[in-house]
Order: sequence, then C-alpha cells, then structure tokens
Amino acid sequence: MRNVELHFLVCSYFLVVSDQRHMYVTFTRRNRERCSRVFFFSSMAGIDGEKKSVLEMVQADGTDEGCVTFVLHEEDHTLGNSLRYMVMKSLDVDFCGYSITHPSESKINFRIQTRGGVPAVEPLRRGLNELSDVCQHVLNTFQRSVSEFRSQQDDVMD
Amino acid sequence: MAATMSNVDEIRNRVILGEFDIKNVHTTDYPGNYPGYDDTWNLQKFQKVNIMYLLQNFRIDVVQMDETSLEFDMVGIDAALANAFRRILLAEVPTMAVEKVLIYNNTSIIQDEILAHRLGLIPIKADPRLFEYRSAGDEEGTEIDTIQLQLKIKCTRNPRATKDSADPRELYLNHMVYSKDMKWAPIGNQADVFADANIGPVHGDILLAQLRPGQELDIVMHCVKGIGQDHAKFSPVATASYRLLPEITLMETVEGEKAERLKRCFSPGVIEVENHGGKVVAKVVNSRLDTCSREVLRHDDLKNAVKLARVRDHFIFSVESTGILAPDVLVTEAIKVLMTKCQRFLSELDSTEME
Repeated sequence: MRNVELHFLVCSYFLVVSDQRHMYVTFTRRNRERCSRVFFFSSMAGIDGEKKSVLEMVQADGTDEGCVTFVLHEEDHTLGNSLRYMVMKSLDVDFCGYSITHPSESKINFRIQTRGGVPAVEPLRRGLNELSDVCQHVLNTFQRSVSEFRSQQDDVMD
Repeated sequence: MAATMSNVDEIRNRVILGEFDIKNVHTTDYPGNYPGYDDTWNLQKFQKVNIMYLLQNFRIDVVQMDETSLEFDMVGIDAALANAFRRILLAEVPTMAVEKVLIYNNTSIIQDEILAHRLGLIPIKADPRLFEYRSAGDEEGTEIDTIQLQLKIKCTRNPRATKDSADPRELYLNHMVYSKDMKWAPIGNQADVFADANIGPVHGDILLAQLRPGQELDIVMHCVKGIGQDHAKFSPVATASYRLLPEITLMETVEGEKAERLKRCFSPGVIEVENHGGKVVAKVVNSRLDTCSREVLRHDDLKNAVKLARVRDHFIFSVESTGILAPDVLVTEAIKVLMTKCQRFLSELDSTEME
C-alpha cells in the first residue's frame, strides 16, 4: 500500500484533493447543478520535478467513461485530423472531433463519444495503433516503390 | 445533393468542380453513413496486394526522381493522412542550421543582424540524424549537438589591376563573400567521425555580402538541430505539395470548330483532336496534365459537354529538397515522425493505465 500524503483545500465552490502526482477537483453540491466536472490530470514528472503532461482527460461527472475529451499538448492538425479519421473509421464511435482551442496555444481538444458503453480510451488506443500500422505500411510501400524505380532507371541506363 | 443509387459512387470517390462551387469536398465514407457499404477500417483491405500488383487498394508510384526533387503518386489513402505527411515534411523533419552567430569583426556595410539572418537561412549539408537536439539551458554546445563554422575574409585592393579599369572583379580581391567561404571547424571528435562527410553549406554560390578594400568579416557560427515549426530555416524542403488527380469526362461528342475551342480551354496535352472519317472529334488523352483552371465553364456552349472532377484518394505529391537530405529520405523521415507521435501517446496512455 502506497503512503499517500493528501492535501485538502476546501472552499464553498469546490474541493481540491491532491497528492504528489494527481489533483482531483470536484464541485460541491451547491455548484454541481451549474457545471460538474472531475478533472483527472495525468503527468510525467520532469527531471527537476516539474509536471509536463502531454495527455489529459476531461470527463463530465455523471456520465460513463464513453464521452471523454482528451487534451493533447504540443499537437496540431497534423496528428489531430489524421487521428480523427482513424477513430471515426471504427464502429463503436458515435462522435469524434477535434478543435484547436486557441492558435497561440499548441494543444488540441480531442473528443470521443462511444456507443454501447465502450470506454473512450479504447477507440483512442485503437486509432493510435491503426495509424501507426498505416504509417508502417506506407513506409514499406514507398521504399519498395523507390527501389523499383531506381532499378528501372539503372536498367534504362545500361 | 441527395445520395441516390446512381451518384453514391460519385459522392464517395470524386470531388466535382462546378461553375460556382466545388461539391463533395469532405470524406463521407465513415461506417454507418452509407447503408450497404462496410466502411469500417480494415488493415487487411488497405494492405491488399494482388500477386500481379494489378488490383490494389493502396499503392505508391514514383513518377520522377532526381537528387533534389521527387514526384510520386499516393493512391488509396485519405486526405487527412496525405495532409499530415505534407505538414510534417514542411515543419517537423529536423535539420541543422546556423543558430548562434558570434561576430568578432564586421566592418562591411551589411548590418550584423541582417548578416546573421542571412547566415541562418543557408542550408547546411550535415545529416541531422547523426546529431542530437541541444539540451535546454546549454549555452556552449557539445560535439554531439553543435557544428561550428567559420567565416573569415578580408577585402584588399588588387595590386595587379590595370590603372584605369572600373570592373570591381579586377580591382578588388575577395570583394564578394560567398557561402563557399564558410569553413567547417570540427570540435571534439567530429574530425574523426565526419572525416569523409564534408560538412558545410549545400550550395557554395550563395552571395552573403559585398566588401570593399579594408572591410573584413570575422564570424564564428554554431549550427544546431531544429524543426521548421520553430523557424523556417530548419525546413528541409524548398516546398512539398500535393494535388488531386483531375478527371475530365466528355458527356457528349464535341466536333468541328467546337472541338478546337475545347482543346484550347485545357492545358496542352489534355485534349487531342482526332480525325474520324472527315470529322474532327475531341478526345481526352491525359487528364493528369490539366491544371483545372475550369476555363471551359466560361463558354456557354461547351460547359455542359464536360464534367470536371478530381479523384478524391489519388494524390500527386511533389517534394523539392533544399539539398540537405535526398527527397526520398525526407519522405521516409516524415512517415517515421508520424509514427513517433503515435507511439508517444500510446506510451503515455499505457503509463496512465499502470497507475
């Protein structure tokens, strides 16, 4: 069992519970009607202890794990659009979209809504794996094509 | 446009160029959109290759390749992925470029910052895969992440010039500073590791500054590894672009003088006029050469005879390298960068799962 040191900060609007690596924020009952979210920060501790997260999950309170917004840091349309295409091609995804919150910040909000109670992390993981496989296949096909072209050119020259 | 049985294939596969708008631009073949079509992602179907390479879903054909430019066709992939490769080629394949310019003496009329800016934009022929990124906060640089170049040149009067010549090429020595005057100064063990790779600017004939007698330049430059997203000097391509394959279909026979006019509406080589028993008839020969100017839609009698479209999943890529890396190496590196991005998030997901 891990020794956990918890810090509590309570005010009338929200309760913050944090330990070394995670911070849980939940809105108190008074405020829950207006907006209820449970933030879950996942972070990688840097060399000097600074938290540099590349992937966060934001999930609405009260819904299941099927509707999640992922915040991907240091990313833009390059990965956003291609990942959105791969996730949309899967059968149990109801909705998938991404947006760039502000052009000055390099992060994207990537939202997945699944049907059938599938947790949203699954289509995301599958989409990333499939995108990786597509890239591998494109790479192999390209290299084969280039070597064929080169040998064809050598034949012509001889 | 409603998806009736006849134009479902057209909506799925073609981008229609109309007179006032462009139709069917977005990809619609997601699972559930079209009843009767199975659009779920299937890697086997994507990779399917016939024994004779005749009927494939995904293929790449290299059309033309030399040391600096490459033209190839990528067929059977979606625009999102093709665009991702294009964006990575422009902005995320790393190269080496001059970052720190230490000016010990500059008595030319080119200001220090202008000269430093010009030096940064010069492509440096060094394989960036053999170097590391400079760690944050490191001012000096080590042999694994820095290349040092030196530019030391002084302009003097030519003692052997004739007395009344006015040509600066005769009167002065070293009055034009070219990039070939930038010399590599190896640090640490670089002299052994890169003994046969001559590190320096790709092109030696880039004019940096002009001097007159008495003016000199004494500059030391440090090159680091970076990506185009940070500064455009790190971009390894002159440009990388793609276009979709045009498709021109004639809906009715066009003969006589109209055929000649139709031929002139398109780029040369697209439409040929043939002689069929005395009558000249227009025929589409090679729609790939067309630049899709839609000029034919400006002629009222010709615009209904032609249907202009683009094939949505056929991309004609054109990659022009600045000379640092060969263009096929650049495309390979770009695909690897996209794979690295996916792996990074996969490992991030796995590490959160473990907790």
